[in-house]
Amino acid sequence: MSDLGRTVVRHRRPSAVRRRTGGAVLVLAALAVGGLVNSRTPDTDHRERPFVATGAVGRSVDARAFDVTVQGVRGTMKLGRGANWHDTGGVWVLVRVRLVARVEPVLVGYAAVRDSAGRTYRATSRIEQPLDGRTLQPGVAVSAEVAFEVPPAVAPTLALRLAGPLLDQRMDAMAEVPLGITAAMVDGWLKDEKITRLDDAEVA
Amino acid sequence: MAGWWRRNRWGLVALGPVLAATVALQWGDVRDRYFRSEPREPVNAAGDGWVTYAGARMRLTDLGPATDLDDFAGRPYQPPGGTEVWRATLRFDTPRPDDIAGCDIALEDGAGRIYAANPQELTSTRARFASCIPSDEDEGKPEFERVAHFIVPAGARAAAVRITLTSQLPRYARLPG
Repeated sequence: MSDLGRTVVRHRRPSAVRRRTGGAVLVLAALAVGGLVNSRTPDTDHRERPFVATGAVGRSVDARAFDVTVQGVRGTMKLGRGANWHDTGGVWVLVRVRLVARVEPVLVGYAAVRDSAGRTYRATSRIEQPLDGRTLQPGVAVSAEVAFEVPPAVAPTLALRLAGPLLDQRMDAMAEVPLGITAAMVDGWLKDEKITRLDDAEVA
Repeated sequence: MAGWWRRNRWGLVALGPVLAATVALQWGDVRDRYFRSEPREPVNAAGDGWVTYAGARMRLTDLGPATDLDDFAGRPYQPPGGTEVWRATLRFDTPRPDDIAGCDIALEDGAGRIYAANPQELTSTRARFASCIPSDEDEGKPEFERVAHFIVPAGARAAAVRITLTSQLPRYARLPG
Protein backbone atom coordinates (compact mmCIF):
# COMPACT_ATOMS: atom_id res chain seq x y z
CA MET A 1 0.00 0.00 0.00
CA SER A 2 1.20 3.46 -0.78
CA ASP A 3 0.26 6.90 0.71
CA LEU A 4 0.98 8.60 -2.60
CA GLY A 5 -1.90 10.78 -3.81
CA ARG A 6 -3.53 11.13 -0.35
CA THR A 7 -3.52 14.16 1.94
CA VAL A 8 -2.17 13.28 5.30
CA VAL A 9 -3.42 15.37 8.25
CA ARG A 10 -1.29 14.97 11.32
CA HIS A 11 -2.78 15.79 14.75
CA ARG A 12 0.02 16.52 17.14
CA ARG A 13 -0.21 17.83 20.70
CA PRO A 14 1.87 21.04 21.24
CA SER A 15 5.17 20.34 22.79
CA ALA A 16 5.68 20.86 26.54
CA VAL A 17 7.92 23.87 25.84
CA ARG A 18 5.24 25.54 23.75
CA ARG A 19 2.60 24.90 26.38
CA ARG A 20 4.74 26.39 29.14
CA THR A 21 5.66 29.40 27.02
CA GLY A 22 2.01 30.03 26.29
CA GLY A 23 1.14 29.84 29.98
CA ALA A 24 3.92 32.24 30.91
CA VAL A 25 2.77 34.70 28.26
CA LEU A 26 -0.77 34.57 29.63
CA VAL A 27 0.47 35.14 33.20
CA LEU A 28 2.58 38.11 32.07
CA ALA A 29 -0.36 39.52 30.13
CA ALA A 30 -2.59 39.19 33.21
CA LEU A 31 0.03 40.95 35.34
CA ALA A 32 0.39 43.72 32.79
CA VAL A 33 -3.37 44.26 32.61
CA GLY A 34 -3.59 44.18 36.43
CA GLY A 35 -0.79 46.71 36.72
CA LEU A 36 -2.48 48.96 34.17
CA VAL A 37 -5.80 48.78 36.01
CA ASN A 38 -4.02 49.44 39.31
CA SER A 39 -2.21 52.47 37.93
CA ARG A 40 -5.45 53.96 36.58
CA THR A 41 -7.59 53.45 39.71
CA PRO A 42 -7.52 55.76 42.80
CA ASP A 43 -4.95 54.92 45.46
CA THR A 44 -5.81 54.62 49.15
CA ASP A 45 -5.11 58.29 49.90
CA HIS A 46 -7.39 59.40 47.09
CA ARG A 47 -10.09 56.85 47.82
CA GLU A 48 -10.25 57.73 51.51
CA ARG A 49 -9.86 61.48 51.10
CA PRO A 50 -12.08 63.84 53.12
CA PHE A 51 -15.42 64.97 51.73
CA VAL A 52 -14.62 68.60 51.02
CA ALA A 53 -17.42 71.18 51.05
CA THR A 54 -16.23 74.35 49.34
CA GLY A 55 -17.65 77.79 50.10
CA ALA A 56 -16.76 81.44 49.88
CA VAL A 57 -15.77 84.19 52.28
CA GLY A 58 -18.84 85.43 54.14
CA ARG A 59 -20.88 82.28 53.41
CA SER A 60 -21.63 79.49 55.88
CA VAL A 61 -20.10 76.12 54.93
CA ASP A 62 -21.38 72.81 56.31
CA ALA A 63 -18.59 70.67 57.80
CA ARG A 64 -21.07 68.01 59.05
CA ALA A 65 -20.54 68.48 62.81
CA PHE A 66 -20.23 72.26 62.61
CA ASP A 67 -20.75 75.22 60.29
CA VAL A 68 -17.96 77.66 59.49
CA THR A 69 -18.05 81.15 58.05
CA VAL A 70 -14.84 82.95 57.10
CA GLN A 71 -15.37 86.53 58.22
CA GLY A 72 -12.12 88.09 57.06
CA VAL A 73 -8.37 87.82 56.57
CA ARG A 74 -5.51 89.93 57.87
CA GLY A 75 -1.77 89.64 57.56
CA THR A 76 1.30 90.89 59.33
CA MET A 77 5.02 90.45 59.80
CA LYS A 78 4.83 90.71 63.60
CA LEU A 79 2.23 88.59 65.39
CA GLY A 80 1.34 89.59 68.93
CA ARG A 81 0.08 87.00 71.41
CA GLY A 82 0.10 87.31 75.17
CA ALA A 83 3.02 89.43 76.31
CA ASN A 84 5.16 88.52 73.29
CA TRP A 85 5.34 89.07 69.59
CA HIS A 86 6.73 86.78 66.91
CA ASP A 87 8.45 87.70 63.65
CA THR A 88 8.57 85.51 60.58
CA GLY A 89 10.66 84.76 57.50
CA GLY A 90 7.39 84.42 55.59
CA VAL A 91 4.19 86.20 56.43
CA TRP A 92 1.53 85.68 59.09
CA VAL A 93 -1.96 85.14 57.72
CA LEU A 94 -4.76 85.58 60.27
CA VAL A 95 -8.12 84.13 59.29
CA ARG A 96 -11.19 85.15 61.28
CA VAL A 97 -13.80 82.39 61.45
CA ARG A 98 -17.24 81.99 63.02
CA LEU A 99 -17.99 78.44 64.10
CA VAL A 100 -21.26 76.87 65.22
CA ALA A 101 -21.57 73.26 66.40
CA ARG A 102 -24.68 71.52 65.12
CA VAL A 103 -25.85 68.75 67.45
CA GLU A 104 -23.07 67.80 69.87
CA PRO A 105 -20.09 69.51 71.49
CA VAL A 106 -17.30 69.71 68.93
CA LEU A 107 -13.58 70.39 68.93
CA VAL A 108 -12.27 71.75 65.63
CA GLY A 109 -9.02 69.82 65.69
CA TYR A 110 -7.73 70.47 62.17
CA ALA A 111 -7.05 73.92 60.74
CA ALA A 112 -4.83 74.40 57.71
CA VAL A 113 -4.40 76.47 54.58
CA ARG A 114 -3.71 74.84 51.21
CA ASP A 115 -1.97 76.53 48.30
CA SER A 116 -2.58 76.04 44.57
CA ALA A 117 0.20 73.42 44.40
CA GLY A 118 -1.56 71.30 47.03
CA ARG A 119 0.90 72.12 49.81
CA THR A 120 -0.66 72.32 53.24
CA TYR A 121 0.33 74.62 56.09
CA ARG A 122 -1.12 73.74 59.50
CA ALA A 123 -2.13 76.46 61.98
CA THR A 124 1.05 77.61 63.65
CA SER A 125 2.15 75.94 66.87
CA ARG A 126 4.50 78.83 67.70
CA ILE A 127 1.70 80.41 69.72
CA GLU A 128 -1.31 79.22 71.67
CA GLN A 129 -4.18 79.50 69.21
CA PRO A 130 -7.49 80.88 70.56
CA LEU A 131 -9.36 77.78 69.37
CA ASP A 132 -6.87 75.28 70.86
CA GLY A 133 -8.95 72.95 73.04
CA ARG A 134 -12.06 75.07 72.65
CA THR A 135 -15.21 72.95 72.81
CA LEU A 136 -18.04 74.40 70.76
CA GLN A 137 -21.52 73.95 72.19
CA PRO A 138 -24.42 73.43 69.74
CA GLY A 139 -25.99 76.65 68.52
CA VAL A 140 -23.53 78.84 70.46
CA ALA A 141 -21.49 80.65 67.80
CA VAL A 142 -17.83 81.34 68.55
CA SER A 143 -15.62 83.72 66.55
CA ALA A 144 -11.84 83.62 66.65
CA GLU A 145 -8.77 84.15 64.54
CA VAL A 146 -6.49 81.33 63.42
CA ALA A 147 -2.86 82.16 62.59
CA PHE A 148 -0.84 80.56 59.79
CA GLU A 149 2.80 81.16 58.83
CA VAL A 150 3.31 80.83 55.06
CA PRO A 151 5.71 81.91 52.30
CA PRO A 152 4.51 85.25 50.89
CA ALA A 153 4.47 83.91 47.32
CA VAL A 154 1.75 81.35 48.05
CA ALA A 155 -0.50 83.60 50.13
CA PRO A 156 -2.65 84.73 47.15
CA THR A 157 -3.57 81.11 46.39
CA LEU A 158 -4.55 79.96 49.86
CA ALA A 159 -7.78 78.25 50.86
CA LEU A 160 -8.70 77.58 54.49
CA ARG A 161 -9.45 73.97 55.45
CA LEU A 162 -11.19 73.04 58.72
CA ALA A 163 -12.26 69.64 60.04
CA GLY A 164 -13.16 68.06 63.36
CA PRO A 165 -10.59 65.27 63.75
CA LEU A 166 -7.13 66.36 64.85
CA LEU A 167 -5.18 63.48 63.32
CA ASP A 168 -7.29 61.48 60.92
CA GLN A 169 -9.41 63.44 58.45
CA ARG A 170 -10.03 60.47 56.14
CA MET A 171 -13.60 60.05 54.89
CA ASP A 172 -14.94 62.81 57.11
CA ALA A 173 -16.31 66.21 56.19
CA MET A 174 -13.94 69.12 55.67
CA ALA A 175 -14.82 72.74 54.94
CA GLU A 176 -12.72 74.59 52.38
CA VAL A 177 -12.92 78.32 51.75
CA PRO A 178 -10.67 80.15 49.24
CA LEU A 179 -9.42 83.21 51.11
CA GLY A 180 -9.31 85.63 48.18
CA ILE A 181 -5.99 87.16 49.21
CA THR A 182 -4.48 89.43 46.55
CA ALA A 183 -0.83 90.15 45.81
CA ALA A 184 -1.46 93.78 46.77
CA MET A 185 -2.72 92.69 50.19
CA VAL A 186 0.43 90.61 50.73
CA ASP A 187 2.66 93.53 49.67
CA GLY A 188 0.94 95.69 52.26
CA TRP A 189 1.43 93.07 54.98
CA LEU A 190 5.13 92.71 54.14
CA LYS A 191 5.66 96.45 54.62
CA ASP A 192 3.66 96.61 57.85
CA GLU A 193 6.01 97.20 60.78
CA LYS A 194 3.47 97.30 63.57
CA ILE A 195 2.58 94.37 65.84
CA THR A 196 -0.80 92.81 65.05
CA ARG A 197 -2.46 91.02 67.94
CA LEU A 198 -4.45 87.83 67.35
CA ASP A 199 -8.12 88.16 68.34
CA ASP A 200 -9.25 85.87 71.16
CA ALA A 201 -12.22 83.55 70.86
CA GLU A 202 -15.55 85.07 71.82
CA VAL A 203 -19.19 84.07 71.67
CA ALA A 204 -20.63 85.96 68.73
CA MET B 1 -22.55 27.25 29.31
CA ALA B 2 -24.29 24.44 31.16
CA GLY B 3 -20.91 22.80 31.42
CA TRP B 4 -19.48 25.85 33.19
CA TRP B 5 -22.21 25.77 35.84
CA ARG B 6 -21.70 22.06 36.31
CA ARG B 7 -17.91 22.37 36.61
CA ASN B 8 -18.15 25.19 39.16
CA ARG B 9 -21.19 24.08 41.11
CA TRP B 10 -19.35 23.34 44.37
CA GLY B 11 -17.49 26.64 44.24
CA LEU B 12 -20.77 28.47 43.71
CA VAL B 13 -22.40 26.58 46.58
CA ALA B 14 -19.47 27.55 48.85
CA LEU B 15 -19.66 31.22 47.86
CA GLY B 16 -22.71 31.94 50.04
CA PRO B 17 -21.25 30.64 53.31
CA VAL B 18 -17.89 32.28 52.56
CA LEU B 19 -19.52 35.68 52.06
CA ALA B 20 -21.59 35.20 55.22
CA ALA B 21 -18.45 34.23 57.16
CA THR B 22 -16.61 37.31 55.86
CA VAL B 23 -19.33 39.60 57.26
CA ALA B 24 -19.63 37.60 60.49
CA LEU B 25 -15.90 37.76 61.20
CA GLN B 26 -15.93 41.57 60.92
CA TRP B 27 -19.20 42.04 62.80
CA GLY B 28 -17.61 42.39 66.23
CA ASP B 29 -15.24 45.08 65.00
CA VAL B 30 -18.04 46.96 63.23
CA ARG B 31 -20.22 46.77 66.34
CA ASP B 32 -17.40 48.00 68.61
CA ARG B 33 -16.39 50.77 66.27
CA TYR B 34 -19.73 52.18 65.22
CA PHE B 35 -22.21 51.14 67.88
CA ARG B 36 -20.61 50.39 71.22
CA SER B 37 -18.34 53.44 71.16
CA GLU B 38 -21.25 55.89 71.31
CA PRO B 39 -23.91 56.46 73.99
CA ARG B 40 -26.92 54.90 72.29
CA GLU B 41 -28.80 52.96 74.97
CA PRO B 42 -30.42 55.17 77.63
CA VAL B 43 -30.89 53.72 81.10
CA ASN B 44 -34.09 55.38 82.24
CA ALA B 45 -35.34 56.25 85.69
CA ALA B 46 -37.41 53.87 87.76
CA GLY B 47 -40.72 55.00 89.22
CA ASP B 48 -38.99 56.74 92.15
CA GLY B 49 -36.88 58.89 89.80
CA TRP B 50 -33.59 57.13 90.54
CA VAL B 51 -31.47 55.62 87.79
CA THR B 52 -29.12 52.75 88.60
CA TYR B 53 -26.04 52.96 86.40
CA ALA B 54 -22.52 51.60 86.80
CA GLY B 55 -23.40 50.34 90.27
CA ALA B 56 -24.48 53.78 91.51
CA ARG B 57 -27.88 55.39 91.95
CA MET B 58 -28.40 58.89 90.60
CA ARG B 59 -31.26 61.31 90.08
CA LEU B 60 -31.92 64.84 88.88
CA THR B 61 -33.32 66.98 91.69
CA ASP B 62 -33.46 70.33 89.89
CA LEU B 63 -33.06 71.63 86.34
CA GLY B 64 -33.62 75.21 85.23
CA PRO B 65 -32.08 78.49 84.11
CA ALA B 66 -29.25 79.82 86.30
CA THR B 67 -29.56 83.58 86.56
CA ASP B 68 -27.59 84.09 89.77
CA LEU B 69 -24.03 83.26 88.70
CA ASP B 70 -21.28 85.68 89.71
CA ASP B 71 -17.90 86.27 88.14
CA PHE B 72 -14.71 86.17 90.22
CA ALA B 73 -15.02 89.88 91.00
CA GLY B 74 -18.40 89.15 92.62
CA ARG B 75 -20.37 90.88 89.87
CA PRO B 76 -23.48 89.22 88.39
CA TYR B 77 -22.48 87.22 85.35
CA GLN B 78 -24.18 88.21 82.13
CA PRO B 79 -24.10 85.42 79.53
CA PRO B 80 -23.11 86.43 75.98
CA GLY B 81 -25.93 87.67 73.77
CA GLY B 82 -28.13 84.93 72.38
CA THR B 83 -27.22 82.45 75.11
CA GLU B 84 -28.53 81.26 78.48
CA VAL B 85 -27.01 79.33 81.36
CA TRP B 86 -28.80 76.27 82.73
CA ARG B 87 -28.13 74.51 86.00
CA ALA B 88 -28.70 70.86 86.91
CA THR B 89 -28.58 69.58 90.48
CA LEU B 90 -27.70 65.90 90.66
CA ARG B 91 -27.97 63.55 93.61
CA PHE B 92 -25.79 60.44 93.82
CA ASP B 93 -26.05 57.45 96.12
CA THR B 94 -23.08 55.11 95.98
CA PRO B 95 -20.63 53.58 98.44
CA ARG B 96 -17.92 53.65 95.75
CA PRO B 97 -17.94 57.08 94.06
CA ASP B 98 -14.55 56.32 92.50
CA ASP B 99 -16.34 53.86 90.19
CA ILE B 100 -18.15 56.76 88.50
CA ALA B 101 -15.41 59.36 88.84
CA GLY B 102 -14.68 59.47 85.13
CA CYS B 103 -18.22 60.38 84.10
CA ASP B 104 -19.23 62.89 81.45
CA ILE B 105 -22.21 65.09 82.29
CA ALA B 106 -24.25 66.55 79.44
CA LEU B 107 -27.55 68.33 78.92
CA GLU B 108 -30.03 67.18 76.29
CA ASP B 109 -32.48 69.73 74.91
CA GLY B 110 -35.90 69.21 73.37
CA ALA B 111 -34.39 69.11 69.86
CA GLY B 112 -31.96 66.34 70.82
CA ARG B 113 -28.91 68.59 70.93
CA ILE B 114 -26.26 67.75 73.54
CA TYR B 115 -24.35 70.32 75.61
CA ALA B 116 -21.27 69.47 77.67
CA ALA B 117 -20.98 70.52 81.31
CA ASN B 118 -18.16 72.88 82.33
CA PRO B 119 -18.16 74.96 79.10
CA GLN B 120 -15.26 77.35 78.51
CA GLU B 121 -17.77 80.20 78.28
CA LEU B 122 -18.28 79.92 82.08
CA THR B 123 -14.63 79.80 83.18
CA SER B 124 -14.86 83.44 84.26
CA THR B 125 -17.67 82.60 86.72
CA ARG B 126 -17.75 81.01 90.15
CA ALA B 127 -19.55 77.94 88.75
CA ARG B 128 -17.78 74.95 90.28
CA PHE B 129 -16.43 72.15 88.14
CA ALA B 130 -19.14 69.50 87.75
CA SER B 131 -18.27 65.87 88.36
CA CYS B 132 -19.74 62.66 89.80
CA ILE B 133 -17.56 62.47 92.91
CA PRO B 134 -18.33 64.15 96.25
CA SER B 135 -17.06 67.65 96.92
CA ASP B 136 -14.55 68.09 99.75
CA GLU B 137 -17.41 68.92 102.13
CA ASP B 138 -19.21 65.65 101.31
CA GLU B 139 -16.12 63.43 101.27
CA GLY B 140 -16.96 60.00 102.72
CA LYS B 141 -20.73 60.40 102.50
CA PRO B 142 -22.47 57.77 100.35
CA GLU B 143 -25.15 60.25 99.31
CA PHE B 144 -24.08 63.61 97.93
CA GLU B 145 -25.11 66.37 95.52
CA ARG B 146 -23.27 67.96 92.61
CA VAL B 147 -24.23 70.91 90.43
CA ALA B 148 -23.53 71.23 86.71
CA HIS B 149 -23.82 74.32 84.52
CA PHE B 150 -24.37 74.46 80.78
CA ILE B 151 -24.46 77.20 78.17
CA VAL B 152 -27.22 76.88 75.58
CA PRO B 153 -28.62 79.07 72.80
CA ALA B 154 -31.46 81.32 73.96
CA GLY B 155 -34.80 79.57 73.59
CA ALA B 156 -33.44 76.04 74.00
CA ARG B 157 -35.49 73.93 76.40
CA ALA B 158 -33.71 71.37 78.54
CA ALA B 159 -35.15 67.86 78.43
CA ALA B 160 -32.77 65.65 80.42
CA VAL B 161 -29.28 65.24 81.82
CA ARG B 162 -27.08 62.45 80.53
CA ILE B 163 -24.34 60.78 82.53
CA THR B 164 -21.95 58.62 80.56
CA LEU B 165 -19.03 56.41 81.51
CA THR B 166 -16.81 55.12 78.72
CA SER B 167 -16.65 51.72 80.42
CA GLN B 168 -20.46 51.43 80.24
CA LEU B 169 -20.95 52.37 76.58
CA PRO B 170 -23.22 52.16 74.71
CA ARG B 171 -25.36 52.58 77.87
CA TYR B 172 -25.80 55.96 79.52
CA ALA B 173 -27.96 57.24 82.37
CA ARG B 174 -30.78 59.52 81.22
CA LEU B 175 -32.20 61.68 83.99
CA PRO B 176 -35.34 63.42 82.73
CA GLY B 177 -35.94 67.04 83.68
